[in-house]
Amino acid sequence: MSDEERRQHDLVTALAAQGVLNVDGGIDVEGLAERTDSTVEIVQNALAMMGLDQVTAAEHPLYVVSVDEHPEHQDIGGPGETVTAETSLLENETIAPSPLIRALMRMEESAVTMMEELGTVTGQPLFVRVSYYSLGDSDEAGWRRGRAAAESNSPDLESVFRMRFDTDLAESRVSIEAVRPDRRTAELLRVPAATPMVLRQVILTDVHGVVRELSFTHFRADRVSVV
Amino acid sequence: MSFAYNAQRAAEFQRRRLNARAPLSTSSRRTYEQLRASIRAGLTETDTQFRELVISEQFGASRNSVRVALAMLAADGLISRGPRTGTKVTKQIVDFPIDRVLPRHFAPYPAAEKYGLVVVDVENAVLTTPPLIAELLQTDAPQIVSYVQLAVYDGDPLYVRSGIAPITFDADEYMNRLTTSSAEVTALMGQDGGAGAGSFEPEIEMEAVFERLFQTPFGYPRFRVEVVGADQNIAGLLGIEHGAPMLLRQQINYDIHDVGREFSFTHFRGDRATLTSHRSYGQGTL
Repeated sequence: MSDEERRQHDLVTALAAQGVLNVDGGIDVEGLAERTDSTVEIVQNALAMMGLDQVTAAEHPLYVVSVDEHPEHQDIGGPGETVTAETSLLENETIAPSPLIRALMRMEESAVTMMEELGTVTGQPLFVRVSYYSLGDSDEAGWRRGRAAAESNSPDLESVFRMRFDTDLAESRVSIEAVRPDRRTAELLRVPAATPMVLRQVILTDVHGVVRELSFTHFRADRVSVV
Repeated sequence: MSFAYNAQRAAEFQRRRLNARAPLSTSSRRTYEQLRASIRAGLTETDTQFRELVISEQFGASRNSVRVALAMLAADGLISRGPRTGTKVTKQIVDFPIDRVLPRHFAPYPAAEKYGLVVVDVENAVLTTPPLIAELLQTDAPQIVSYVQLAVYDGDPLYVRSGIAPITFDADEYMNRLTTSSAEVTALMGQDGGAGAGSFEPEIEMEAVFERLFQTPFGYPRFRVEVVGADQNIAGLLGIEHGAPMLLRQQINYDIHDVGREFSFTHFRGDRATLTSHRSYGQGTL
């Protein structure tokens, strides 16, 4: 691919992410080529690389996830649609924290709660997330509060955090990486092995300087963009 | 015996009970996530030896899941494995602010690194503004500057950045500003233009360069990040394999009048780069 073709490809990708490719349910390839001063061939190649040559953008949605919010707490749909993810619990364990967990959560506790959840949208897997909490934050009352917050109208991160941990959020620290999953994760998210994925690490800290949540989320890269 | 001593013994006993009785995790994904985060957080430096048994004990993970996780890190190029040399961390992961364009000379780890990040121009061109660009950036500028830049860190290409900027004045004048603005700001910040640490902040430099280029103060960025596989051309530029995971950041930089001035796409090597964000909320202070 030449640099010119890549520029066109990147532009088409950007337009797909913003939901501006559809015209009456289809992709107007000729129109897109004209509007980008490109050629039909380049546009078709770009769409093909994105897997959009046979389906419309409406059937291949890109969900928009806020950089530090969980998808089940926000509207991740594109323009004109409201979509929220659902989660199901895969594992809930008490474990001894690794050196990394101790360092990132700034704790000396001998045990933490580890929860692994699968996130889906309209029944299709979107992400798998593992979260770590101190034992004191793992009581049932806290979870109920968190659920209530998630089910309220348009909960923002601060509201969800306050309801969940009964204190205010001070900061979020996020790292986003491009990785390949292991075989099990690929099967769980129903993608071919070695498919690129988004790996997001989030650390949420309260106003007292206590790290309340450390999470790692693998998102399907073909379904998610982060803003 | 003091209460504190008894409390310590109790906590240690509890920890041993957990480690002794809890089944080992068989999730190579969780082990991989934590090992990679350890490298990124600097908890494991270059030449640190990874030993499967130690990792298994520290992370409560089965030997097999540790093996798989280490193989994944080796595929990332972050560790090397050999019969005589053992398993060692060989590369660091570089953090990039998610919404910032870094200076042309930048030291990600000023206290530790000898080499910094250097950005070089690959290509510049002046083109007629495509209709869709005019629409996206709400501009009536007849021409755009199109550019491609390559960033190299510690001898390795780390990202390719391509972008466009509508120009509302003479194209030659714009190219001249592009060449001189970075050097002017660097001189103002007191950096020597090499790989020195300096005392500048990348945020300040980005805004200063923006103002010099577009003759209007910087307003705010809008970004979107995705993960894609490297195509053959970009894989060749960055020295990675075709299909390797990459971070793709689209960014529009707006001036204080909400006018989009620059639209860029940056492809970061997934094995060596992270995009980071730090947000403060409410009136929380730490």
